[in-house]
Amino acid sequence: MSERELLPEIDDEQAEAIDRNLALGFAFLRDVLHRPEIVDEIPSGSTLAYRAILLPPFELDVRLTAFRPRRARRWGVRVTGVGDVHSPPLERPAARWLYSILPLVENATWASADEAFAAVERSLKNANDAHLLAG
Amino acid sequence: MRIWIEAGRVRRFVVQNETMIGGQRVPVVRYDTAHGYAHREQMFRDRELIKTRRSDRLSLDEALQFAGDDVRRHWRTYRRQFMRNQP
Repeated sequence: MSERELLPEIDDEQAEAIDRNLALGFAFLRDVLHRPEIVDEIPSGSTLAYRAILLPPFELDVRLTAFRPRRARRWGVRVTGVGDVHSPPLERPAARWLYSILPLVENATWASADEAFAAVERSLKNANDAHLLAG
Repeated sequence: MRIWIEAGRVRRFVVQNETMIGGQRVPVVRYDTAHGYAHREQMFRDRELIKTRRSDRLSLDEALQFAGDDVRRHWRTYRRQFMRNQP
């Protein structure tokens, strides 16, 4: 078989997705190197997916890792990193925001990684709206 | 990727970049920190892999940084070289 037959072309959009996934995968590994305890709740052998979202009022990247344990159908999600890996612990308001979503994150499962990420984003947006309403 | 953790510390990791070729997922390049040093294995469609040892002095962090930079910059090249059987 020729190279052309076996090696499908990758368009720009796919290449961007690969670049993004590689960056997030290595960011996850760097987070684990610095805080190995973040994998305590991710079963060994899980399939992983990554997403970075913005913590609305603080301009901070929140790195999420969705996981589907071996032989399971549903996905869980954990916050595995915030801001720069080497940055100091979160300031109190930012920490309060982030921790407000943890009960959702820690107790629910979803049919897909995308749904898990969307649920976390929704939760953060709700926290943001509540904050604005409270003035 | 695989991560080995002992006594609360990361002791080793393997990062493998794969691609879909002919409907199958195949490894194209792998970074491994087994035996206390980092090495890279580059795979090919129809010839033996090439193993390249990195510096003994790289920490896990440095090995990860190196692997991340290399794979992110060169995954297209590794994929092409896999098919051409030429590094």
